[in-house]
Parts: sequence; C-alpha cells; structure tokens
Amino acid sequence: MRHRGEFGDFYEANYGRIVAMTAALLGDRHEAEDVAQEAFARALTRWSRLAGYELPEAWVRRVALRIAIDSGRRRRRARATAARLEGQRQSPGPEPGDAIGFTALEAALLRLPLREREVLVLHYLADLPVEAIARDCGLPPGTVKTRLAASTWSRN
Amino acid sequence: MTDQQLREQFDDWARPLRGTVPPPVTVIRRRARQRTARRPPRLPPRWP
Repeated sequence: MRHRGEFGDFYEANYGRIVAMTAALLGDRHEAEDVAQEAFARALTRWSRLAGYELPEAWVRRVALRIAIDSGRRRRRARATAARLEGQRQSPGPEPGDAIGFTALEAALLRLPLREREVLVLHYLADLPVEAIARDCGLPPGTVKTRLAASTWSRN
Repeated sequence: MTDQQLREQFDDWARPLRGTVPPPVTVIRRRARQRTARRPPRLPPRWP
C-alpha cells in the first residue's frame, strides 16, 4: 500500500514521454498509448521492487520498446499477409492518415527498419547516450554509432 | 541538417504527444490485475 501514491505520481509524470517514444517507433498514436499502458501495468505488478530502483522509468522505457517492437513486427506481418492475399505490393509502413499527423520526419522514420528506428528514437527523443542505447538495445556501441551516422536519411 | 536541428525537429514533433493526458491510474490497475490473473500457476519442481 505504501507505494500506491508513488506509482500514481510516477505514472502521471512519465506516461506522455513513453507515448511519444512508442508513437515515433510505431507511427500510430493509439497503438502507442496501448503499449504505454501495458508497460505501466507490468511496472505496477513489480512496483514494490521497481520503486527501489534509481530510475524506474528506464525499466518502463525498455519494456515499452520491447512491446512496441513486437507489436510493430506483428503489424508488418499482418500487412504483408493482407497484401499477398490482395495480390498487391507490400506497404513499407503505416500510411498517411494513420492516427497521428504524418510529417516529413515520420515519413522518413517509418521508411527505416524497426531496429534502426529504435536507435534514432532513443537518441533524439529519449536523449540517451550511445552507451545507454547499446545497453537498452543489446547492441555493441559501434553498431549504435553506425546506425546514428546512417541517419543522414533525414538530412538530405 | 545538424544533429541539433534534428533533435529540435524530434522535440517539436513529440511535444503534443508528451502532453498526452494519461487515463486514470485505475485503468492501469485493472490491466495489472488482469495480467496477474492470466498468469498460469507456477508448477512445483520435478525431482529427477
């Protein structure tokens, strides 16, 4: 019971940031909110332990990323199947008109594979340094740097 | 575009989303309870 209020404060302070991060990854605000809620629900079931962490939001961020990536893969497979069934070409990602306003930035992001998008989102949105991204994504720091350098995609 | 400009673009894009009003915490509590209820009971260890 001691943590009841603390979890509420933690949730309200961090919810928007997690939604923004997952929306950038998935290109869909509603899906992003669902992912964020699932991540916070998982955090709540472990709150007695997480409350003792220095940065419980880092745990929620990692869980939300994993859920978002799984969800993104499921959506991609579903789209591919639908496209095959309809005999159409596979779409590379969500289309303009999906949930959030489609900007040039999003269009550029959504052209990238999910794993590359993840690195960019963690660097530019979550403001994480290379070492922290490497730890979160289970990648060597060199790979993170390469993926960030490849982000010239959006600079042209 | 510089790294800083790119960061600002991401920031501008994310600002309205960061301001998303969270649903009441009871929604999360309900979801957490459903997760716990779905979890299968842990099996006792098997002797070799």
